[in-house]
Amino acid sequence: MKKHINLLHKNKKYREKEKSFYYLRRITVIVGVVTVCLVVVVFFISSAKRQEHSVLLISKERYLKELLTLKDSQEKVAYVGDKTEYLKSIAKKDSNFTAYYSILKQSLFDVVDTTSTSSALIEDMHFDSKQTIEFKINIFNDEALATFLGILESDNFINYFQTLELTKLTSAREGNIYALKIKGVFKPIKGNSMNL
Amino acid sequence: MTRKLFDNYMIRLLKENILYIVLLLFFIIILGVYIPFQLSDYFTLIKKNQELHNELTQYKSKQDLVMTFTPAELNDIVSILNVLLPNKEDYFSILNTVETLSQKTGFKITSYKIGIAKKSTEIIQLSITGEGGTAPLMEFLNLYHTGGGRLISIDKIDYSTRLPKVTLSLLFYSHEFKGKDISSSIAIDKKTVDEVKRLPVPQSNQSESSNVNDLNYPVRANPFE
Repeated sequence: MKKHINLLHKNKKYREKEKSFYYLRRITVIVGVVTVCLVVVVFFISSAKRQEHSVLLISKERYLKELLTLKDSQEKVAYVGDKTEYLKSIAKKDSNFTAYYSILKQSLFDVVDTTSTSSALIEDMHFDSKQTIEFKINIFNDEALATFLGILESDNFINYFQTLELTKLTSAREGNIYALKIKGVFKPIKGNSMNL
Repeated sequence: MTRKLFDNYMIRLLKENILYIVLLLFFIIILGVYIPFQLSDYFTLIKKNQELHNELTQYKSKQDLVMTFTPAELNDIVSILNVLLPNKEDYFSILNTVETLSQKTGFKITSYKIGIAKKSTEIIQLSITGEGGTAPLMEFLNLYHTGGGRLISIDKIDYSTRLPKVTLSLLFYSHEFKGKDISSSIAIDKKTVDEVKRLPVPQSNQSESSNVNDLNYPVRANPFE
């Protein structure tokens, strides 16, 4: 059998190998450019952050030194802050009786005034820090009773309360005297008695 | 097969392109190791800087807060607070406060009943019964908060025009400051501090706590001193 060399076939194989190495060179250049760019970018942004870090550390040291000179005032400010917060919490817990009492007094002014000829008199009153009020009122004539019940049922008066109920109504046979017991819980009003 | 892949021509091509092959490996190592390392370092720095920024903001607000008050202002307010809210309870000052209020308002106190509130040792409950009509009572109710020297809140009022008498459940407070530094949780409202300075605290009580440097209220051992 006669041997021969296929030159055409050989040439194609070589061309393929050269083409592969041509791509390798191109890829190397592209990867190289990308790597250099990335290294430069990362180097600059890291440097900027390192510089910022150094500046911040210097500022921290400066602040700490300055605060050290104000140590005494710092302690007092912390003390004042703590105690004023506590004071505010107490102010919120206070019953604030005068504010609620003035609401009641104003609302009932038509029947309970401060004169000796008043047609009604608040006899017993209980008030607590949960703004629960319980009072007994003596009313001395029918007209005043009608006025009082009118006030009690008016939207204006009811709006001051979360709950309001007439728990007892008794009348004495002689002299048209009525005794009413009222119990209610005021809606919280804004502010507190100490204005804190 | 191996012989076919690494023939003479191939070896020649490899020799000619060895620089590219080495460079490519070098770039891959940089991309795979150096860049991620540098990026991780960069993100750590971002986090540290953010923490430092926060710390500095806290220091600045702390410094601004301290600078809001002059040393004299601070001494005044500490002195007032020492009187209103002593660090330790002082029963004599409680009775003194009630007596002062009674004298100032004309509200006559007929009996006292003292007790420690169950919820906290910082609260002392004093139940007083008094008489003297509506005007002294209203005057008492307008002044009681700080007018006697100590801070008081009213828990309950029982008022009877029939007897006539009124029973008031008064609460007295003491409060010890446990911290020594301005923590981030302490927020001072300048408006509140100004309001506290305006509270009607008797001057004589303020002078009792003139030593404001130790931030302690002087507790009296002898009521007659």
